[in-house]
Amino acid sequence: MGVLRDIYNRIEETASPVASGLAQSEELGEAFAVVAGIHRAVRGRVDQLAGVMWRSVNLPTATDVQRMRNQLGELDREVRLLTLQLQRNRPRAGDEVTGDGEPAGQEHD
Amino acid sequence: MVSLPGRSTIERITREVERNTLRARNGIRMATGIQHTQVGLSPKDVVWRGGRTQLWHYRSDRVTMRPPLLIVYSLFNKSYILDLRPGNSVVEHLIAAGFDVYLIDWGIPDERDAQNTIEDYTDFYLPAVIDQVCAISGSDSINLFGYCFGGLLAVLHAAHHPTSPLRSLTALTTPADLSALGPMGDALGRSDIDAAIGSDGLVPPSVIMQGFRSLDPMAEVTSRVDLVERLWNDEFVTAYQAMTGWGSDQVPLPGALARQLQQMVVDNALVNDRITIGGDRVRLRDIRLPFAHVLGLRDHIIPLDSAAPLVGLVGSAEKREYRFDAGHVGLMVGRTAAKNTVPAIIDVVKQQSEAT
Repeated sequence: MGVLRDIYNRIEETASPVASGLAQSEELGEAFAVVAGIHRAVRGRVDQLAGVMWRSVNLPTATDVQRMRNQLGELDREVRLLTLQLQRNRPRAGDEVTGDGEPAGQEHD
Repeated sequence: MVSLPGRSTIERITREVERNTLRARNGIRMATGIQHTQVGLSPKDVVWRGGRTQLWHYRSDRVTMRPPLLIVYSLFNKSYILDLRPGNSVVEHLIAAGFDVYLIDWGIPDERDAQNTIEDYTDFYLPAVIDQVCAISGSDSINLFGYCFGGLLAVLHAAHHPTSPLRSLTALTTPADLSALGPMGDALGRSDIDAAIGSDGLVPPSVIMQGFRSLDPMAEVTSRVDLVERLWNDEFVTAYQAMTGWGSDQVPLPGALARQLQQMVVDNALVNDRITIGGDRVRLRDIRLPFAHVLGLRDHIIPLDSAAPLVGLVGSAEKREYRFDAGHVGLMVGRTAAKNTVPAIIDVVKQQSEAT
């Protein structure tokens, strides 16, 4: 094991700067960006075609559902921040509230 | 005439045979998932919740120091690194030192958190949690302790809220000069951030993990070689599982926050005094609390050049910087941390505390 480890350590000493240089290079970043862009374009086209199909039978598409979820998420955040602000105005020892202001039982780990 | 192997050779062979048996056993256990390492085991109570965020109060029957200590963890991964395993836990050490320890765990963001901004954390969550800690403990102030990005949140909160009931502020390996962040900062500054954000409004954990991996691509290979070499050692295997489990246990990042961070990197907002929180210009020199910053000389995630300027930016009259020969995680986890950095951190906070 010791000999094999020494061999690996020597390889790692040489390979590590090369691997780091490659992983952090602008070229690799650009290559990933191109691949991600192609993936997004293909995905977008698939979603578009699926959307046409779902809407033709009066059903929401995945993007419609995601958009609604995102909007609900924004609402949830507004309520959450308001709850935090209101809670600060009346602090009580040992109180627990969830994001929507409902009390929760104490949990123990 | 054949010469027989010496005693030491026989002993070496016997030891290797035994170790190979243990390697096989541990290898099978790991491969089949039988051996599952539990983490974050210090007893605690969830004393407050807000969305995915929880405030944990660690149980202790030997609190001898006040005010309470509130740990602000980072948004980039899970907080159990601070309470990894019995005997390898910063939280354990803090409790043993007599502190009344609380921790904000940000949970796992989902699409409800996609529009969370820095202000959500510095101006809403932190004030609410600090109030809770004061109310629960009966103290009129707390000692605030932030790790990495949690340190940044703590510092920005203190700067934006000078009347916040803070006795002191301690940051651990927190970035200040964002132009010196190295490859992560470069990538964040020049990337098409919107391309990294998914349809749910979050930066996926896989993207964040790739970012960390790119800092040291060979590290994962080396750690597996270490594992093969020491697979016979039960203690090593347990520690390995805990650490690598945490390293791959990333969480998503709110997309709105990611965009803000990118702008902060582009502006190098802290050192250039261009921080805006909630529409207000925020200046680190407005921080007047006793302040301490602990840095790792071998930190490849928050390099020394990025962290070092922070102590100079803060306006406190009483401020110190501590540098240790450790990496980003090594400052808090491991034998060296237990011997050097954690006792130093405890001393720093003790200076801002008194006996009960």
